[in-house]
Amino acid sequence: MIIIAMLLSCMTRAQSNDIETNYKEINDTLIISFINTGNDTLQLFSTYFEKPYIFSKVLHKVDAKNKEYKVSFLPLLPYLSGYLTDKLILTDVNKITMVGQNLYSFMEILPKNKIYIKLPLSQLFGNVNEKNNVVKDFDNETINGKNLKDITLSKQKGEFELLFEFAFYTEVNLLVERDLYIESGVKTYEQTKKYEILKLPVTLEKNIPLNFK
Amino acid sequence: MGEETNTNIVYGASTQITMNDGTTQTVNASQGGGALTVLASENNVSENTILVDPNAATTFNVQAVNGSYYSSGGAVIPAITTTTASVTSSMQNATWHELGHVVYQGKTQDKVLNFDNTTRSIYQSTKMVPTRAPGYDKGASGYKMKAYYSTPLAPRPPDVTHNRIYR
Repeated sequence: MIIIAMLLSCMTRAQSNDIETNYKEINDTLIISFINTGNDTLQLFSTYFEKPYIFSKVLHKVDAKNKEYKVSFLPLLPYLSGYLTDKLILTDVNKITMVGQNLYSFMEILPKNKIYIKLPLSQLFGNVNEKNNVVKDFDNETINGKNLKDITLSKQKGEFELLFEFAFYTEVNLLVERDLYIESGVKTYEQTKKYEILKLPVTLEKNIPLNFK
Repeated sequence: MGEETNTNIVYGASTQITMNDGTTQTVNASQGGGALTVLASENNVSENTILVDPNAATTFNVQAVNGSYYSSGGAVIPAITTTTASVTSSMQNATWHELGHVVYQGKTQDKVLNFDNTTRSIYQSTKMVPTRAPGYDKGASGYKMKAYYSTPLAPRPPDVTHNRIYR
């Protein structure tokens, strides 16, 4: 069954420096593989692959000018930290844009190794029939409480290319440990910004209307 | 205060939170740096929970904010809008601090620190220590109990999640 499904699924490739990417679609799941072809260990930013983040409309960014619909797993830097505040939000999807509620997490890819991620499409596109289910494209480094209110997208027409975006770090030692994160100050801040973006064009077999309601 | 929701205070390293849908979630005090609060008003739960680890470190660092932080609208830029500051706490102080999150839920979280700092200034722990009177051996009846008072804790500065714009 799996072999047949693989034959039927769409296979494309994306290349970005030391990362080679493939994807296939099996039923409701989009499986993306990342192959580290380089000599350095890479760290795939993975915080938003899990619940509740996977349901967030903030991951769905539309670049109206370039006709791109981006499912963006890039880090929302102002809202990520190496530690949590003591007033915890457990499951609210909106915590993705709350300071002190989101930790950096990563998936390690050793040189010449391969990892997979599985994205449940029904969850990822769970808001497709709701109003304001996507947002205007925005800068992940400068987004804040004020401009977050201005990212509502007006209704769009025409064809859009579906892209998935991922962030790869090489150094994350200051981002995953509370004391180091705080004490390293400027070095931590610099490390948060040192990532490469991989853009993966995806054509889905599953019929998901990319409505912008 | 007007708070009608029950607040459970748990002393330990971790506890289980029962969500309104019946599922449970384990939280560790270390997630919040040794103590944490889960509010019913901000989570899908029916009661507030405060968790304090009695064995947590009593000195820790925070990202203290300065005037530039407020004028930037809350941007966290180390050495420009924030600096590292050391904070001394205690199990009792952590309890008061977390209670502050219950009392001032939905409000700017500088109020939690004001509350915390008030308890810091008035709180003096009393410790009874045996003191040997001159001329008596250890264990003899000549020991007297003397009360010592600890120094009040230094005020805690506003940080990135406890300040006048953060709710």
